[in-house]
Amino acid sequence: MLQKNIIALSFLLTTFLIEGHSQKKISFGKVSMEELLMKRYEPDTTAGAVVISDIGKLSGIDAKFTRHIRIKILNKSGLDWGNWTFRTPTKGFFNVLVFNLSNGEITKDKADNNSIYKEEIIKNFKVYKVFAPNVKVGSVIDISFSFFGTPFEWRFQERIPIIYSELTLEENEVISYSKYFLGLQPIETISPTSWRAQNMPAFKIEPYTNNYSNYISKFIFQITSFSIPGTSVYVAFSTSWKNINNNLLDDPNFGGVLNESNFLNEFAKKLKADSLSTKEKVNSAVHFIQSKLKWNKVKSVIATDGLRSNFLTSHSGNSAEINLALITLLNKAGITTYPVVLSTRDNGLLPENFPSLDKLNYVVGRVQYEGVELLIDATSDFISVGNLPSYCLNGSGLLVKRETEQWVTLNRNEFIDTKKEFISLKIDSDGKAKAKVTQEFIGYGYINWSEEQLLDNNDKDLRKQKIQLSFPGIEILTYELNKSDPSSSMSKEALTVDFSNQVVDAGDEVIFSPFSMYEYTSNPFRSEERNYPIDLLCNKEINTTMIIQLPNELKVKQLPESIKVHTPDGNASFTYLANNSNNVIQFKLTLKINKHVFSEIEYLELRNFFSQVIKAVNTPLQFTKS
Amino acid sequence: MLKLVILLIALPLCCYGQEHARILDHSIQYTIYDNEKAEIDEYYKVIINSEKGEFYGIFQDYTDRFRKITEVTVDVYDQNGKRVKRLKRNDGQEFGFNPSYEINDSKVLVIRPEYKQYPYTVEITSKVKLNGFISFSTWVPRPYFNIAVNHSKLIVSRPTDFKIKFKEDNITGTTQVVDKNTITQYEISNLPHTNKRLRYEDFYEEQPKVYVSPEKFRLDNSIGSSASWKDFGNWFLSLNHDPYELTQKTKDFIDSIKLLDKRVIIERTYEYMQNRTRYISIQLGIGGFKSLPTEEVEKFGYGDCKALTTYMKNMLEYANVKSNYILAKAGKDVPDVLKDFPSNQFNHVFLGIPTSKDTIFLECTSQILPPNYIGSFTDDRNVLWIEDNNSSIVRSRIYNQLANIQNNNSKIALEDNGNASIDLETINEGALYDEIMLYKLSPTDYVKDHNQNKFNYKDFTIKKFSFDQPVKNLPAFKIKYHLQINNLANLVGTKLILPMVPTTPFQKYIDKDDLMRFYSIKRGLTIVDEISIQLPQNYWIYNLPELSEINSDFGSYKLSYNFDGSQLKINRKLILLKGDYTKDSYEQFKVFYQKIEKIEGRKLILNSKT
Repeated sequence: MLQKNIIALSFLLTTFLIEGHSQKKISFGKVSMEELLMKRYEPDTTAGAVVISDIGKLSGIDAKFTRHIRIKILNKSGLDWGNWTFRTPTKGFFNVLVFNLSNGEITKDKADNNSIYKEEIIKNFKVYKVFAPNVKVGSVIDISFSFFGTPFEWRFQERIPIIYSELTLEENEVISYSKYFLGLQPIETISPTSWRAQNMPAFKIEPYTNNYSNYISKFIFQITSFSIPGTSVYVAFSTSWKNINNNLLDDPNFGGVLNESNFLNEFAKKLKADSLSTKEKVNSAVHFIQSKLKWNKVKSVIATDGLRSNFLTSHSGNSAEINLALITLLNKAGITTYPVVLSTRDNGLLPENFPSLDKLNYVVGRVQYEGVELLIDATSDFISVGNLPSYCLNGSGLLVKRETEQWVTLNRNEFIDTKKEFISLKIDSDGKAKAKVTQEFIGYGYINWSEEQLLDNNDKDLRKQKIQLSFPGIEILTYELNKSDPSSSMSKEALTVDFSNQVVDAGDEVIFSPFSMYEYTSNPFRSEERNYPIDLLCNKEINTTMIIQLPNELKVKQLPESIKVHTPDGNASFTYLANNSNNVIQFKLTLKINKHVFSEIEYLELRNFFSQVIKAVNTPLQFTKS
Repeated sequence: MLKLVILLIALPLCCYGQEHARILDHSIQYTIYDNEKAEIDEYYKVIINSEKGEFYGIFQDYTDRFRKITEVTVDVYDQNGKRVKRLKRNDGQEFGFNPSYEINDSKVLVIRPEYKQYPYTVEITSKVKLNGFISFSTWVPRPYFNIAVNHSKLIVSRPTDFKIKFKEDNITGTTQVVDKNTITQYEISNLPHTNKRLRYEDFYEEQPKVYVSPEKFRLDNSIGSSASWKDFGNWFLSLNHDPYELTQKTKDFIDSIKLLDKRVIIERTYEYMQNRTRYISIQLGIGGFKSLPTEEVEKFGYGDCKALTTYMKNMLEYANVKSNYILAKAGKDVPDVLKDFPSNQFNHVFLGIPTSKDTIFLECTSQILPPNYIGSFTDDRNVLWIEDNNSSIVRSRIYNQLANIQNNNSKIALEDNGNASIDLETINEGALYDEIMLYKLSPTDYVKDHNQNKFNYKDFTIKKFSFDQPVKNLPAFKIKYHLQINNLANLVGTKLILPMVPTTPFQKYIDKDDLMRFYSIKRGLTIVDEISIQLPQNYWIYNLPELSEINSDFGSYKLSYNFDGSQLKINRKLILLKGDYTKDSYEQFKVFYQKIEKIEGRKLILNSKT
């Protein structure tokens, strides 16, 4: 009974806290007994800590930003929330207080300089690390800091729940900026200059998503101009995509590359004179650039000053150097090609209505001829003309053309991860089952396959072992790589496989599971809930043909029914066709996923779709003995 | 403790096949001036044969208060021997990349050749000045599988009165040793790249290498010795033996329990410490070895392993309980400390308390572990027991198959369409208790992910999950799941086909690699499964399996079935003995493994009576 009362009481306290905050003003250093007594956060009882309030304000008078964040530690897993890292654009001034209850009394500890460190991570990138003192279960931590300017971002959502978050940005004459909202959890607008969020749930990571930064609810800021009071200094930054395009084209390491790069002239001249089709010329240009510049794994939207010597001597370059050289070469050869600038998946989606040079981190080329539009990238040997590396499949990119804003879709419907398999299996009268299997990886299937082969050093034994580990119910006897062709984006593997373990003697019957090597033997979607969209990168298609030859001693008792299942919108579909004639069974299975992003609302439909696929491919066949 | 510098560029993963790089010449020369000042001159010339070899052409070193890189030049030559690049410090990048719970003043300097026309040659000359040291890096001429070595040399020169020691490993005929009083030189020539499939640990063990350690050193005005474990222990003790004053509150607390049983005092004091502190890592100056004062731990409520351990030790001292520091090389699977080579090989400290019948261990960086539990972080390894004038290497606690027990109790209700619901209760004991840290400390999405990846069912939902620790100070915990499984059994005609063991297959408990030819059981293990399956009405089991029993040198396996007309009971007991099974024992283990695989690969067939 007592236990129950305590729970009820703490529930009341939290309710009070939640409701209280919208009216009650929280001031630094003044904590309430309720906050200290708070035992758990009812809307999310797994939370180790919770942000009670997070208030930020940009002053209209002096463009100073102040932030006050109050954190409550609820259990030992939340102790790490006594450590904070902050990045500020200018020097930061910190105040940190920690409150604890000790025998009913509120005690207060102040962090001194020993608990606040400035750390330089790389040159000119400094962060402040705050280690709040005496943080234990039950502590309330007050951190306040201020600096000149606007913050880089304001997060209304964290890895722990936030009860109340409010941001005010007063009009001021010093700094003007633009801001952009990201995330799926909504916030409220209180006035033209202030916003808030209440009871924001903790951000939780889910599988099959794009970069998490796209989903967490926050504002990102960009300074558009600033003036220094009392002086005539005024600096303005690009405020539109057109401006950004102009700036890029005026930049010596972007537009400069496109206009100059005389080291490309010789080959360009030759290419221009060649009697090749446009397609062949593009291919030839890609191969030429690949032979001269290998990617150093640095993603960039602009070249370095060393492009010329990189091209001529070191043959190593960042992504922009490679692709800008390719674009320039094609233009010089008379094939009009535009750069398309973008943000890669690891860098977050590019917000089309928030012009931001900082957000661009990659450039590819776009070429159009004879009615086709191709996106080109020469950073990888195994990505054929017209395909982009997977990390580029991220929304839209901006076509770089003076005084223009034109968008180009990066994830294209024709980008498909395809697998085709053909299995010819024979069951002997003694119950042994052996199969010849060929599997082809096509398009993005080939690109993914190649990436793995590259990591594995093209080690065929390792590949064989990996296949074996994915399918424990069968035994891979031999493995052979028949073909790997980057220009047609296709590889083909041939295997011999022993399926005998799947042949089960059930007395008068024999039971056999034919699809023990199917791509999906278990449901990829394990959770019952979903908060964020499912991002599968690109479309998918698996075509399976299987032929089973039975011995005379066995007869098919009853074939599984042919089925066709799909999600309500038809974008994921699966057909299973079975047919038996003269003791030869033939299966045709087709799994198609025709879009790469499913909304969180469609999640259960997709999960259920896979459930049906899994059931079908795991259903054994039944033979009678004769 | 030891400065932990995270090198940013990971070694390439592949470990088989071609020669990716060849070291033409490598020389490391230590010039030791006294027990505090030394210089390291390094010359390194390598041919990079392919993109996979690029790693070996990258200069990577770290700096901190005691260590400065004063000169570095990276020259790149094309295949005709023409110099194409000269890179200096400013062409590189300096990183100080630390997690949010760490304060660390060291930085890593990385200079990349950025050249892609193979083969090419990189020549690096560098000088590092040391102003205080405690140990030197181990000389390993061939650092990795895919690299060959033409010539490599280690020279250590020092004043006549400076004592230094060397320990050779796999150093054979190809090595030249020049040993005088002031110069020691090792040279090795013509090591080919390795074309064997090996684990890195096995590769490393086979390598020729020389361990080097000064016998006397001076770090931040603290003079120490690693002439013997006794001396090293004394140094550590002297460094962490400052007078301290506990707060009145702490004294009052200890006074209030002082008269209780020793074990209770230890447990209560440990809990007191755990509830008032949190772990953060402090790696500043000599902070790598010297503890933050107890007063500061009490004031700030945080500390690193030394600070928290010292705090705990001091509190116990006030309670008249004598305890000892234990230095360890912590981590789940790290190479063992060389017992016969007294030197700094440690990165962690915890506490040991001798009692009349055993030793109680306290891991002071955890706020949640029960007293006397160390787990896989510091178990079963050589550790240095620190005692005034009597420090020595001892073996830390071993958790074997008698301690590491997992009990799984599954109650399965099977429907006639093959779907099932399962109530599973798992109890983890011994080092398996480690898993509780994930449940107690990780964000819920990690826990969810961990749970969902735990099961081998093909299509399932975790409907309920909870865990608890039944006895507060006993390292055992219970996890409960309620699972909904689609098609646990496959319905074929009127038959239901069930996996032979419808829970976790035995394979999941064994680490193996057939290409590298090893089976590995890191810690002995006992897995007990009690499964009861309520069959759908009208179903009976067609092929009730006989008892299977296997006994081997590696462990044992037992699987039995019992059917009472409606309930099928399955009992499985798998015992695995600790061991690294390679070469001959690999083949023998394989026989054991495949026998079980054969048993569990079968199917249970349920027939309908109708």
